[in-house]
This record gives sequence, structure tokens and C-alpha cells, in this order.
Amino acid sequence: MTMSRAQPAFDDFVTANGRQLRQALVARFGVDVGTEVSSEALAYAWQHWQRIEALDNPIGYLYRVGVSAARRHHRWRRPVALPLESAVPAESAAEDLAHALSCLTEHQRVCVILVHVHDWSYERTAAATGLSLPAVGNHLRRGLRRLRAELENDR
Amino acid sequence: MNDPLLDRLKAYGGDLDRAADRAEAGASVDTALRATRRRRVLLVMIAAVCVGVVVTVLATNHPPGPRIETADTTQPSTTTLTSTATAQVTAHFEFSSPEVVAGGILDGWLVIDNNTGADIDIRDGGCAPKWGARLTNTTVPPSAFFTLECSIDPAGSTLLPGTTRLAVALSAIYSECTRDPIPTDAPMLACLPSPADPMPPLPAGDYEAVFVGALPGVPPPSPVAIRVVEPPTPATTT
Repeated sequence: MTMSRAQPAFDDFVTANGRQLRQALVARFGVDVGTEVSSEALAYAWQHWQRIEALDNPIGYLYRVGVSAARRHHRWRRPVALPLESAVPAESAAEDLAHALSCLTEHQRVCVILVHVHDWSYERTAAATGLSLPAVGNHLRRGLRRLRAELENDR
Repeated sequence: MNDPLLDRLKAYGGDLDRAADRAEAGASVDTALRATRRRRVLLVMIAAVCVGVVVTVLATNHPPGPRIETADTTQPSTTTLTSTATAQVTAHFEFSSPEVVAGGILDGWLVIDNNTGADIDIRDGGCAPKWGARLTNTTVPPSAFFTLECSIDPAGSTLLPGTTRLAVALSAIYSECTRDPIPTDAPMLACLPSPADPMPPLPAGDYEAVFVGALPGVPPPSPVAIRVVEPPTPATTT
């Protein structure tokens, strides 16, 4: 495959899927690390485009590439960095929701953010993250329960 | 029925995407991290301490740098001396002793020989460079934290031709600790009770003093072997 043939297909892929991949990785690792590893995953996709293009679930594959790339960031247990909430309810502080989300387990946070923040379906979330559908439901339920408890405690 | 939490989460999507866009564009992201940690965790990161160092004065041959010695005639101090050379600029550490007491501070110098015949601009993006020295070995990483402010020190922004000695202090303490309850697998140590001096001392052993940060135009000096020793036990009287 030549670069000239690969380029448009890769560009189309990034346009169609790059944002989703970043959303999933930011949900898991926070903004700083998630953004960085999503770029790394796309760079990997470019280098191995012939193989990635042929995959049934390239987003799921690249999500795992991003998860592997994030390992080095975890060496020193970097906390998950999420942005402050701009539309803050009157009784809350701007950091409450971000902090509460950062307190969830990785899978809980990914499921809550993808499904309830970015409006992904359960199926799409499961495909991207490699979790089963029941697991997505469980993580979501537990994540929301913990989120409510956390936000309740902050009041 | 409306669920306020779900509504809140949905509205948060824009914040997340905007933050990721900014991060992708290279801008710093205003995260809740600091604010939440202020409330939940007291993670003490003291730039000066962590760097273990503090480069109190970053000046050059310009008078009147209080801790800068400029002369080629300056004799190296007592101990360790190694150097890394590039074409015409060399740098090496000199410390007053090869040993430091755990929890103590070892004074030293970063000695830079500028043989280019011209001034070297050591500003980092227009700001005074941030650098220092840390003790490290196989179990203690050379963590260093610098403040983000941009200080402008015209006197300390240029290395004149000749030898410049920049003061450096090497602290035999950890660079970070936490007052949070420590989970069993946490890599971070608990802070000492003292609010003024919370960093735990490094355990006794063999370490290397390594350069951390960046000093544009100057090659990093070679590491220097330093031994951290236990503090002397006070004599007991009966």
C-alpha cells in the first residue's frame, strides 16, 4: 500500500473515529494522559494502517493500544485530571463533579462518561472498551451510585 | 422524570471535549485536580525542596551575584568532580563533601566553563531556567517539581565567557509525600508530622546527584556519587 492511497482512508478514519477514541481514553485516564495516548494510538494506526483498516473493531483495538501506552503514565500513580464543570448547580462547587468522577474506578468512569456524558450506547461502549454488555451495565450502575454518594457527601 | 445528576453529566460533555481540544492544542488544562486535592489530599510538593535544591541565585559572571564565583582561578572544592563536555561548553558538579546526613542539605556548585568566546543565553523561553540537582538511586526516582511562574532575571540570563559557578543545594529528603491515608500499594510516603518540614529523609545508602530541569546551551553535568549517612545518634548520659 502506498502512502498516497493510505492517506485519504486514514484521514477519513480519523475524522470519523478520532474524537470517539479520544473521548474513551480521556474518560479512562483524564484529559492530559487521555489526549496524549489517543494521539499515540492514532500514530500507531498510521504506522500499521494496513492491519488496522482490516479490523472489524479498529476503535476497540486502538483503545487497547492507548491503554498500553498509558501504562508509563501510571508509574507514579498520576491522578486523573478532569476539567472543572462550567455549568455548576447552585449548591455545588465547580470541582465536585470532576472530583467525584475521578474517584470512580477506571471502568466505572469510562462507562459513566461514555454513556451519560457523551451519549454512547451500551453496545458502542462495550465494543470500544472490550467489556461485555452486562459488565457495562454493572459498571454504570455502580458508578452512578458511587457518584451520587460522593456528591451527596460533598454537600 | 428528570434526574439532576444525569442532566449534570450531559452538560459536562462540552467541558470535557473543550478541555481535550485545548490539551491537544498544547494548552494547559484547567483541571479540578488541584482544587480537589486541596480538599482531599495534602500532597506536599515544594518546588524548592523537591528539587532538593534550590538554585538560590542564578547569575553569571555579572557582579554582584552573591553566590557566584567567576574566576578561572577558583580552586575546585574538596571532593567529587566530574565533567561532561560538548564542543566548547562544559559543566560539572562540585560538592563540599561526598557525604550528606539523611534529611540534611549538601551545598555545592554547578561549574560551567564557557569557552565559546561569546555569551550564552540560558533563558528558557524567555524565563529564568529551572534546574537543580536531586539524589537518586535504584529505589529513589529523581523527581523534581518546578513552579510554573516565569521569572525574569536579566543578570542571570547570560553566561559570560569563562567560568561561572552556580550555587546548588542538594537535599537528602524525598521530593513528595502525602497526608492522605496511604493505600498499601501507594508509591508515595507519608509526610512527617511537622507542617514546616514534612518531607521524610532519604534512607542511608549510595546515591547519585543528578541534574534535573533544563539549562539551555549547557550540557547536563555527569552524575556525582554521594553517600547518604544516618544522622549521628545523640550521646546518652547515665
